[in-house]
This record gives sequence, C-alpha cells and structure tokens, in this order.
Amino acid sequence: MADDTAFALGLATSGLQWIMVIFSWVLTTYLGRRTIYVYGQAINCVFLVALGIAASFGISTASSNAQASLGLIVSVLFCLGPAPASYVIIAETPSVRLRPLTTGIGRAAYYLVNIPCIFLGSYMLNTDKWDLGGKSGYIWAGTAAICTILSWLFIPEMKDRSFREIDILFRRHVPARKWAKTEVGVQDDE
Amino acid sequence: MFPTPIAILLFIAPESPWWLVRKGRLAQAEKAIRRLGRRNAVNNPADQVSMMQRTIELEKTTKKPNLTELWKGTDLYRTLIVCGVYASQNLTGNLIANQAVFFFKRKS
Repeated sequence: MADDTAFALGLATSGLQWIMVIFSWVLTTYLGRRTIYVYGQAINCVFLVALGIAASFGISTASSNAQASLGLIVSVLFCLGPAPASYVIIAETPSVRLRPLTTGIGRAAYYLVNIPCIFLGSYMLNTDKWDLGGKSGYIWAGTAAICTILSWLFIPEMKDRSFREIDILFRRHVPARKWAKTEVGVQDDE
Repeated sequence: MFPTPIAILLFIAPESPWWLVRKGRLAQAEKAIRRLGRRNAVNNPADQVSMMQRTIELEKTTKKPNLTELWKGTDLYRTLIVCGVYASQNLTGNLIANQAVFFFKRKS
C-alpha cells in the first residue's frame, strides 16, 4: 500500500474515533458503565485474538490488510465503549471528598503502566527486535482478558446512583456484580 | 451577540433544586425537579428533595481530605478501582490498535 494511502487511512481512523466518542454519549445514556466497560473490553479481546490469527498465516497483502483493518476496528471500538466509560467510572468511584486526590493518584498509576507498555509495544513491532507484528495481538488480548475478568469482578454499576447511595453501597461491601439489584432506602445511613 | 440568547434562556430556566433545598424552599425545589427531569424519572420529586436534604446535612460535617485516607478501609477499594481503570487503558490493545497504519504500510 502506498505511503499516502496509509497516511489517509491513519487520518480516517482519527475521524472515526471522533465520531465514536460522540456515539458513546448516546450509549452511556442507555447502558450502564459496568456493562459498557466489561463487554467493550471483552469484544476488543476477541478482535485482538483475530488480529493475532490474521498475522499467523504467512505474509501476504491480504493478511496485512486484515491486520490493519482489525487494528482499526479495535481502536475505533475502544473509543466507542471502554475509553469514555473508563472516565465515567474514574469520576464516579471515589468519594466526593477524596475525588481530586484519587484521580491524581489514578493518573500516576496510568503513567506507571504506560511507560513500560510503550517500550514493550515498540519491541514487539520493531523488525530488528522481537518482530512479532500482528502476533503481538495475542499478547495484548491476554492483558485485555485479565483486565476484563478483573473489571467484571470488581467494578460496580454506578449508573442512576447518587453519591450518597454509592458511599453506602461501598460501606456495605456489596459485591460489584450485585450493585444493580441492591436497593438503598431514603432514610438509610449504612 | 451570543450572551443575549443565553441571558433569555437563563431567565426562563428553572432554579437549581440543590440551591433551593439549601435555602429551605422545598416546595419550589420539587417544582424545579419536575421541570428539570424526564417525566418518567421524576414521578416522585418529594423523595428526591428529602434525598438532597440528607446529602446536604451529611456534607456539613466534612473535614479536609488528606492522602493517607486513600489507603484505608473502603476508600482503598475505591482508589484501587480508579488506579486499575486508568492503568488498563494501556492494556486493552490500544498500543497496537493505534499502529494500524504500521500494518497498512508494511511491505508484504
């Protein structure tokens, strides 16, 4: 594929991501954050495995086009689901009092993981290093699967809850999966 | 130019129910909630007002937050969720997906 076509497709990806973020506004109105986040990650996990498979059967134009399209799908879906939902979760989870501090620490955690991941990502793709190409999709699918399981276990559904209800549900140690079905009375304190 | 329509909109917009509850004007707060919410979401505005009253009461007793509190009790769980969600933005394949161009360009 010619260089300028590749560049144009890069631009198109950014445009699609922009549109998907706008669609996510509609999605968060109707679906819970936990639902979007967990299932969004699971779906991306499947596409990452597909990317790995596309790269596993020799080198051909068809295979590289498939890899590129799957990469595009993953990044666009990420912008529709998990990415915006993650910021909603980040904003809603901490208690109101501690929110600025918690969000700051969270951002620090992001960079703590981000820096080694950039190194790893570059090593995986560089032809004079590990040269995994699309097969690195398997590795990212693995990390995505771990994230999916952990978020299914630990991230509660906070849609349609007031901050007071969220505080109470955390204090009651309600398991994350059961939040949606738990009732909190108007007069409850604990 | 732009401030004029905004000023008109602000004039006809309902007052903030939270502000009204803080001032003790509960009947007006109920009316504001009825105007602000979707019809099916606000079938019982009195409940929402009493919820706001209790929240405001509870907020009066807050003290200054500090960093050590993030690592205690239920706040530890909440901090870990935020850290995990932030960190996992790197781990769900984004780093390779954003390299889609790399595969387009790659000479087959």
